[in-house]
Amino acid sequence: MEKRALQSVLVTVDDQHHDLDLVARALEKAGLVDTDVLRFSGIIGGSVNEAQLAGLREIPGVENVEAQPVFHAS
Amino acid sequence: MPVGKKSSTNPQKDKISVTIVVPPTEVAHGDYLITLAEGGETEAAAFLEEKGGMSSMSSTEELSADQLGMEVLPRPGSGTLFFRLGVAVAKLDANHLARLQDVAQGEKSILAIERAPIFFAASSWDQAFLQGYEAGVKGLIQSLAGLSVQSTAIDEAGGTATWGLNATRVEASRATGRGVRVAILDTGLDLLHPDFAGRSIQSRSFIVDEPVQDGHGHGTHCAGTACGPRKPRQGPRYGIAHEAEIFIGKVLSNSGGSRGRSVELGMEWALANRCDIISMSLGSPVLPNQGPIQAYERIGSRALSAGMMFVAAAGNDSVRRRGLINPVGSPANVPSILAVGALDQQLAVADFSNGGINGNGGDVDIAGPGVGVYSSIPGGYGLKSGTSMATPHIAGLAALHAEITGHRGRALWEALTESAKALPLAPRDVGSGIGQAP
Repeated sequence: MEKRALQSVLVTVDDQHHDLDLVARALEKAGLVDTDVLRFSGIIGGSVNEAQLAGLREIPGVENVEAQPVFHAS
Repeated sequence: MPVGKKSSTNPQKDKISVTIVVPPTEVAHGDYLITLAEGGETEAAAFLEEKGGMSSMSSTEELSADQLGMEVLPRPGSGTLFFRLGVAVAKLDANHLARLQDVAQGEKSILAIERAPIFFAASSWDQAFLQGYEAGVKGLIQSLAGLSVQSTAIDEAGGTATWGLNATRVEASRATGRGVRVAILDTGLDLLHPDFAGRSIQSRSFIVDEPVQDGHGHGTHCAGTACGPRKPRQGPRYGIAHEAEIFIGKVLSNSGGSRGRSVELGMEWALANRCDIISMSLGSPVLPNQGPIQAYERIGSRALSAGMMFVAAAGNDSVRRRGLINPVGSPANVPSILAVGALDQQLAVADFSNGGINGNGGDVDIAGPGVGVYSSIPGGYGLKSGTSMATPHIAGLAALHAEITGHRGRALWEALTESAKALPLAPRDVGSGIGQAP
């Protein structure tokens, strides 16, 4: 696959109805790399090739896929 | 002994950049103490004149009482370098300060820019000015003796507590925060600071290759306000929940920014540790009409449902004197995270404090002291301004309410906002008003 800039994303999962680990595995299969599973929050963080971004939203259990910001001391 | 020699025992010394951040407002005008890196004094002198916009920097090889007593800095942009002390004293107006802060980030020869203890805005040689000068000389003597320099603002001179603690009625409260867990997600903590000795502190760094030890100063300042001691080793009281259990999550690097998912991992860590109040003096600017990030709403609402609460800075992107009010930043702009605006000593909205102009939860919920805030910094004490400083005031107050009322989560949110003192200001800017101790 052509190498493009990876986008850091936060995936909000409907973990009341879907197994978080299974969703994480499906996301990885769809191109998400460097994943972190936040169990308390029901969020999966990771990086994805921009071309594969839209595909993540199609995975059952995925509520939102959003770009992750950079924070600074305020 | 040169000031720099004392700090040479500090392993984080070379990582400390500019520890004092005062937004470029009118209140910035005054005398400043600039700490120079050991061995970099000549470099610093050149830097201050060439890049720092200082018009005239005279120098002296040696400090004497006469020189200190005679030292009058008549014009903004002028200053005196004390080579052997490793410090410069400079008169800065808002423009000079803003420029200096801007260019000094990353300049290794400048360790800190702090408001000098002799900054009284007196127009003549009155009693207050002389008292301030005395405090300044004492500070320099302490630094010569190897003690930390104590920056003392006019409000703190002779007072038993900071203006912020007085305005939030902390001194009058019997609450201590005992049994309450407060997390500070920031640049870490000076774990060797004597004011935190003996405290229950759990910590973890989410910044690869950087320990929890605060190499920036911001985190130590915020932790000091929220959880600092009732009786500090020296100077006025500045800490609120002095018996709270402290959780330090280093989610911002020593240069002040997040890395990767450090913030989200820190939020999850604080929740997994059942922290009752989680203070986040950090943010990312948001544009007008830009919606909030749903992931943070998920994290915030899950916290509230489980009896925990996030408190976050509204952000400093506004310049109100020019009519510019920017929206509350992320992640404070979600409905389930308490957004904190900043007030100055006159209880007016701070010039830089963002406003609730975006809706969708992007309101300011409450306000706290955020200008000229005195608290702990690595190795000593210092002043900072920002919604970052208002936020730990509210986190500390929340811990006091949690202890006294037993409330957590949404109930604690309500107890905190309903007990706030209303101000004659727009709720858009200050929410329900200035937080008050129970």
